Amino acid sequence: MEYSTKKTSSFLEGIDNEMLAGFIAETLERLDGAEQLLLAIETDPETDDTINALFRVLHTIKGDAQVLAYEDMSDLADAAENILSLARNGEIILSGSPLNIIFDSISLLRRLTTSLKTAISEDKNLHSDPRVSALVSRIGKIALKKPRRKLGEILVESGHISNDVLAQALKQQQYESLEVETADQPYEADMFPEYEEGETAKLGKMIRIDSARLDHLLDAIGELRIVSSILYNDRKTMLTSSNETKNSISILEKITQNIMEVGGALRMTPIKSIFDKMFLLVHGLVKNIGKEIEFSVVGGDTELDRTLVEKIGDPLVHLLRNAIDHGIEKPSLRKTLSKNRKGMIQLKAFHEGGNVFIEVKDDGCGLDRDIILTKAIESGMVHPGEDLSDADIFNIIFNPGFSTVESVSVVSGRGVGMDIVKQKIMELQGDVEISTEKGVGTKISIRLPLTLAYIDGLIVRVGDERYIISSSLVVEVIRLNSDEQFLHSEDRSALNFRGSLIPLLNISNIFGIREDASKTTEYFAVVVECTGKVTALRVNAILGREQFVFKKLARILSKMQYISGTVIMADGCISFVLDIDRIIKGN
Amino acid sequence: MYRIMVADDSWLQRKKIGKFLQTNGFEVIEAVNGKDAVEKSGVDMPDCILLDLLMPEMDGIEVLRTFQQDGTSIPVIIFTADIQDTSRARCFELGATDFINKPIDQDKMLEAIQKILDIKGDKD
Repeated sequence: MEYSTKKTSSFLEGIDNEMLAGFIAETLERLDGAEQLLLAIETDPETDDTINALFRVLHTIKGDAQVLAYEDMSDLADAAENILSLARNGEIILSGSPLNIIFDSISLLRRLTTSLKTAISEDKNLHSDPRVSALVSRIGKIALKKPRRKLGEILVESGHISNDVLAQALKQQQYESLEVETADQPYEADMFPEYEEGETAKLGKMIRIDSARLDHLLDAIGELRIVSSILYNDRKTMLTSSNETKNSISILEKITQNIMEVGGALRMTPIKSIFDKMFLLVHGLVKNIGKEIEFSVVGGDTELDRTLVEKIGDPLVHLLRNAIDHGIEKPSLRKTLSKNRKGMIQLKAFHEGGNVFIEVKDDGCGLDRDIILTKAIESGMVHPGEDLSDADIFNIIFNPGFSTVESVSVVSGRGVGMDIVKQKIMELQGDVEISTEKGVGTKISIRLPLTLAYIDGLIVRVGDERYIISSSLVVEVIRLNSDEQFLHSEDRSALNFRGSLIPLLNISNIFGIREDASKTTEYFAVVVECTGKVTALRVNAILGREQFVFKKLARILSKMQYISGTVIMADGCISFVLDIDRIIKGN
Repeated sequence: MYRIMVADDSWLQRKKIGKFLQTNGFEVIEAVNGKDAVEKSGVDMPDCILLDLLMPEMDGIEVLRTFQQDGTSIPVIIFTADIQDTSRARCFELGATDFINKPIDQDKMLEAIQKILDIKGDKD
């Protein structure tokens, strides 16, 4: 990579790619922080502490950019810093256009950072960005606007004091203000009340790791785990080995399990980073549409797999957009409905039963059951007179066919793109559900696994084949010992499960497996729940439950229906993981 | 081998300066903010500290003040951008030994460090 700007100062020597990468990562984090500070300033434009903290962020970015001789970035940071400097001295107030220009500067600084990143990764030249000079001159105009006249100048002009006296007084004032400035430490204490003292210290001890290396490590741990369980399972039949060896193998298996857990934890990261971005998004969206919304976030420190954190952003943006655009009513309408003028949107994350739940809840207009049903019937997705529960009807909006129905979003509140949201969540081995009440509000609940690297699976036998069912989907396992429990018709079976009839699907039929009649004297039903639907799967035996290293199907196999991935069993054989959602839908 | 502390909240500045000093035969320790600098200087006893002024937790001025109160005699070189004369005077008052402007001219930095170490006397 080269800078096409002419200046490649001697300082650029000795900058390697690792330094650039570290700079990029840190700068992006800084800009995230800056946005938070800006939001705080917007609510209270005259908080010195916040302005100082923001000034420091821009100052550091400027210093770094100078080290890299990245002129676009240092110029822009410098200009923005000037505005903050004026604000610090009380010469301008950070609201209206000065505030907006800082918002713009931060987002352009972010773009400059990402274009530097692209330039490095694609080994391209970094071109000067024309937007920088435009923004810098806009900033210049704001800075030039006649500031309030200073008291000292007025006094000198009127002859009350001499220039020397003024200079002396100013000097004294500067010292005093320095004293004040350093006497309290506003930054962490006030801005981030949720960070305890220990927390900040902890942040300093963090190290950055290349995510590819981390993935390699986890892959290796996975292999280790397989070998270890093979040894463990064979230990009893090893004739030659001593008891010590067998003991060691048991210990090895325990340690390996431990390593696997620690390895999994390495991938975990708090969802806060994404939630913070949502704050900004909501802020931006609400600004332009004349609605009043109180946005709150709960559970930002909930941890989940890094990959999930990265990929959950888009679906969340979509859900929040829907809630803002179509869910929350205009203030005037809300008033006539005797609702609070301000609409409420809450984003919440929490752990439950080995899963992570993320909820988007609003107190807007909710979904209209009848309109959805009418539309669904019109488009032929539902037959008139079909017996559907409310949940069934609301879940229609996740159906790809439904979203294409024109003008649905305007009428019913939402629906556009919900199929894409659902699809993305399913790709992450998660699930999404909706509960809503007309006029009261809507809650969309996303369930995600804690991690994508491992799967906690139930091993079942069908004929001579073994399959894995993700434990998080399993509600109950029932031994089918008499015909009383289930009903047959020609091609369908149903199971009486806690007083209600649920479909009973025969796995051997789905995969065309022949069951050896002499071996299959008994059956089990694995009751699974997915997308709000409860279904039973008929299998021949339950073999156990284990943690596996999960591998997605290779692309050439991705057309295989009803299979989501593979795992390697303790005996070294490969087993398929059942794609429960598609099995339920396809049967 | 002389031990230099680089106290700056910017990762890039620490790495860049640290690497340069290492190639010039110094041992380098890093501090990520003023508080860190005060804590580590008590333990690691650097021969010289390169101190940024604008840092979270505790800024450079306050580090200097703490050193003065504690009677810490480690020489401090302030390195900062846009330094105003008034704060420069304030830093000297609080015991700073030298000043370097950012972006840092490496030769000047080396010169400033050398000058301090010459005063301190030779060390193996």
